[in-house]
Formats: sequence, structure tokens, C-alpha cells
Amino acid sequence: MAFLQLSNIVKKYPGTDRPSVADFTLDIDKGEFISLLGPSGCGKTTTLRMIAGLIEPTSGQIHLDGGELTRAPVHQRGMGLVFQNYALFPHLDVERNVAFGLEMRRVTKSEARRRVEEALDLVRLGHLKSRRIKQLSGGQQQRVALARALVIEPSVLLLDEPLSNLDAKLRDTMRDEIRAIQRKLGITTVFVTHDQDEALAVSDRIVVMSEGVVEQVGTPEEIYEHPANKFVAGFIGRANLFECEIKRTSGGVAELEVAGLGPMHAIDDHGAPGAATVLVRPHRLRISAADDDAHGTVETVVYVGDSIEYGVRVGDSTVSVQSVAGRDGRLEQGARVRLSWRAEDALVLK
Amino acid sequence: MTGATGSHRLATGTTRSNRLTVLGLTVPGLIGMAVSFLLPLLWLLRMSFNRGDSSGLIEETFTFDSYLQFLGDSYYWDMAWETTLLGLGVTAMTLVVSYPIALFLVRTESRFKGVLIALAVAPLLTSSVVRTYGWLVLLGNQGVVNQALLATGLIDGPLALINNKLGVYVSLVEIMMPYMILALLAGFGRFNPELEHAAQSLGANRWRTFWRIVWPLSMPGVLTGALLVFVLTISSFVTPRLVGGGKVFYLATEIYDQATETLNWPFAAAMAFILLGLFAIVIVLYQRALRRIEAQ
Repeated sequence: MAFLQLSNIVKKYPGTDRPSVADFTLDIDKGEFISLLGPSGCGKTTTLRMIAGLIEPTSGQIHLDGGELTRAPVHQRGMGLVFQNYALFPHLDVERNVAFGLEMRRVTKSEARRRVEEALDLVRLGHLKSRRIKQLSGGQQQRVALARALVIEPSVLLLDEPLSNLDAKLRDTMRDEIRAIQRKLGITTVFVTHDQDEALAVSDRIVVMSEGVVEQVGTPEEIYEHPANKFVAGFIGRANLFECEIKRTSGGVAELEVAGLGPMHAIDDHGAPGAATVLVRPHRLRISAADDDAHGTVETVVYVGDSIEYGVRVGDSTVSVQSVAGRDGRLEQGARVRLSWRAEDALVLK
Repeated sequence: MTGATGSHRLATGTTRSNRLTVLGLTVPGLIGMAVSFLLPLLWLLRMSFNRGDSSGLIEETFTFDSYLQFLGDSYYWDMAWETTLLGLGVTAMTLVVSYPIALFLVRTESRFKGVLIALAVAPLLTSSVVRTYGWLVLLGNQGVVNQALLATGLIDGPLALINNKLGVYVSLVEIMMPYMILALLAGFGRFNPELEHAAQSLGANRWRTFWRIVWPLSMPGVLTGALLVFVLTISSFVTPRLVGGGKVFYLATEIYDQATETLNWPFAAAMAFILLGLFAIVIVLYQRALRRIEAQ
């Protein structure tokens, strides 16, 4: 049985016509790292706060390790929370911030000291334990917040956009560090983020949300390679979406007629003919110079070191193509080109 | 406080023109203060060393008679003690009734937050003399409170709610509330509702969250409010005089009596400086407490 179970969770604020979270169901295994991913206002933070107990669900149930805690007060849940703005106690030093949860649990002084030291070593801040909070950098504050949440040995670690206040470089380091600590402790973790790269890099599974609704749940590979719909395809990674007509499908491969490109092939799990959308990632598209049978014209050429990114005008829309620099040669702006892809590099979306 | 540190930072700035600007901006205020406050105060200090008598005659001399008269009389010691108690009592009670209101105003996410804050401090728009008369109307023998209690049959005769200390305390607390609320709101600067959530997630119930997180973070506001209310209370004389009905005696009311009725100006001046000494002690205590908090 799942360790943390969210069953049909709904949160609807009075006076709003659309629920902030609609019918959220998810089973989370012990030790799993789950990301809630979506644009702002998609309900991911609301969901996290319902797990934490800071927001009461309108309906639905939350079970932890077999016991129900849908309406249990926050301070009895024993979950570790890390906030976007860190929420460290400004009047306490680093050590006393981390020790706070242990004091609340009436852990003896000597044991508390030992555990605080362990937690601070885990986040590599052992040397700063008597610092004041305002003397710390953003990254250090985030580590203190993490240590403070971990020291109570929480059943679940809840991270609410913990990296979004850090600068880009630090963000990657902290991201990997959080993941390493999570693996080391084997702690069940729910991580809220609006950053797809973050979610792809750290998660066992990703829950993609939009407007309060779960769009897809899956491993990073599943989400990226097999997005369930146009929203997920567009939100995770860069995507070219082509309107197309499915002629026939056999053996999981569809024959398509793509507007502006002509006959093409793509993977199709649905198997029904008719209008559809086909997804091709920019780096899966092939581009080659052509004369009379060209699909479009190169509008923009951006050299980014490892690769060259082309914007190709096809009919009314612009298609992004990413080609490996040096391997595929270089096309100039204004060049007439043909686009193609292998059947296994394209996916039909319904 | 912020204004003072701000101008200090400017004054220690590097450029000369900066310093001149600061000087130019502060001089008018300093002159105004000197003429309207410092000079009269010096004049008052000089007056306190003159000799006066009950006939209103003032003998120009230099003597500590007035101070000795005050310090040698247990009646005045009691009065100073009562005044201090009044200050402490009103401060404590004002804090207790104002704190929940201020906390609510800090926490609320209502779109009427601004309006609510304005309402909480709106009583400042009315003179405290007017509000004191309001309390006389409420608490008098024919007042609203007594009439209501009599009508319900809970009491047989009117309760003595004015012309005594009770009335003075009650009305002063209400009059001081807006000041306390303002100071608390300003002092809640470092507070953030997320801190309460963090404390709760770490296992603190509401009670412990309050005493371990909310209360310590509100200390700057509490101290500033307490100082303000204490000073305003022990120097107030309209309310103690009107609601006290001339039957309760505090330093401020006594100074007023000595100056306007007995016409012993030297003695009134000496008492004023003793009251000022009391202020000084409180301000020193306040500064110490504040420094201790800021060191955290």
C-alpha cells in the first residue's frame, strides 16, 4: 500500500466558480521523490499545503502510512516543511532555529545538540551554527531551513518552491544537493516547482498540473517522451505542435497528412483516424536545404555553441529546429529548406 | 528611531555638500525646538530654584527648597509612587487589550485592511478632552453603564465608577489604545505569517507558536508602545482630573494645581523636573531593553 495517499482531494474557495484543486488523487511510495509541476495558479502549492495541514481540503482524504490525517492539525503531522522564503526565525541563531522542532518534541538537551550538529553537517553548515539568520546568504538560509525540517526526522519532506529565490548557478547546486540528501535519507519528498528542468532533474515521478487539474503523472522520461496532451507537451521542454490528419494507423504507427509538410509518420497510441496534433521536439527535427520541394524558409539562425537553433517559417507558423553544430552543416537565413523526422521521433496527441 | 539613524548615516556620508544639505534641512527644526521647547525648559529649571510661597510671591534666589520640600514629604512620595503605578498599570492593560487587535490587523488578508487600521486609530482624531467627557457620560452615576445595570436589576444603587481610580484607569486605557496599536503595528516589521506556519510544522501548537515566535518578534513594538503609553499616561492631567473629580492625585494634576491654584510656581517647576527625571529613567530602561532585543 502506498505510504502517502491523496484521495479525491478538492479545494474550492467560497465565492470562486472553479476549484483551486479538483479531484487530486495520487499514491506516493515510501522514499519517492515527487514533483508537483505547473504554472503559477495551477494548484500545486495549495495541494502541498493541504498535505502539510496548512489548508483544509473541501473534500477528499489524506492517508499517511495507513492512518488518516485529513483534518489533523499541522503541529501533529510531523512533516518537514521548507518554504520559498525560508521562514527562518529571525530572532534565533542558526543552531536554535534547527533545534526548534526538537525543543517542541521535548528531546533532551544533549541529544538535541547531537542531532542539530548532524543535521547541520548534512547541509554542510556545521561551522555557522552560532550565526544570526540575517548574516547568512540566501543559499545558506535555504540550507538552514532544510536542516531545520530534516532534524525532526519527518515522515514526509515538503518543499515549496525552495529554489526559486536563489540565483541560477546556486539553484542547480542546491537542487542536486537536495536530491542527494533525499536519496541518502530515503525520505518521501513532495517538491513544488514551476521549473520543468528542476522537476525533470530530480524527480522519481512528476505530477503536471494546470488550473487545478492533474494533466499527467509519470516519470520524467514518460512526461517528456510521451506527454499525455498538448498542455504537457508544451509545458515540458520545447515542442513543435503540428495540426494533422490521421489517414490510418497500423502497428502503433500512423500515416499522417501534416499541414504544410505533406505525408509523414508518427507514433500513435490512440489508433483512431481523424484530426489530431503531432508533437516533434526541436532536436528531433531534421533540416536540409532544398529547392523546388521546400517546406519553408529559414527565418532566424541562432548559434548557441553546442547547437544551432533555426526558426523556420512554414505557412503561417514558425517551427523550431535544433541541429547539432558542426554535424549537420550550417544553413543561412533565407535558405529554402525541407523538414523531416523519423516516425519514432514524433508522437500523435489527442 | 529610524529618522535618527537615517540622518546619522547621511551626516557621516562622504561628501561635503551632503553634510551641508543635512545641516540646512535640520537647522529650521532645531531652531524651532530651541525656541519653543529648550528655552522654556531652561526657564522652568531656573524657576525651580526660586523660592515660592502659598501667597503666590516668588523670591528670585537659588535654593533647593522646592526639591527638598517634595523629597521630605511622604505625601509626595506616595503621589510619585501612585503616578508610577498608574503609568505601569495603564500601560499593561492597554497592551493586553491592544495586542490582539494589532495582531489581527497584521495578519488579516482582508481587502479592508487599510480601512480597519484607519478605524483603529481614528479615535486620535478626537481630542482626549472630548473622549474624557465621553467616559464621564458613560460611567457617571446617571451614566449609561449604571442606568443599564439598574434597569436590569443587577444592582440596587449606582456603582462608583468615576471620581475614583477605577474611572481614571478605564478611560486612560481607552484613550491610549490607538497609540499602542500604532506602535505595535510598526513594530511587527519582521513578522510574517509564514513563520507561524513554520513553527507549527515543527510541532508547536498555537500557544507555543505565540510565545516562542510571535511574542518575541513583536517585542520592538511592545517596548515602543509601552514607552509611549507610559510617558503619555504619567504626564496626562486632563483625564485624571476630570474623571478623578479632584479626588485622586497624581504628579501631573498636582503640578497643574500648584501652578494655577496655589500659584507656587517654583514648587510646580521642581515637581515638573522630578517627573522629567522619571521619564529619563524609563527612557534609559527602554533603550537598554531595545538594545538587548536588537542584539538578538
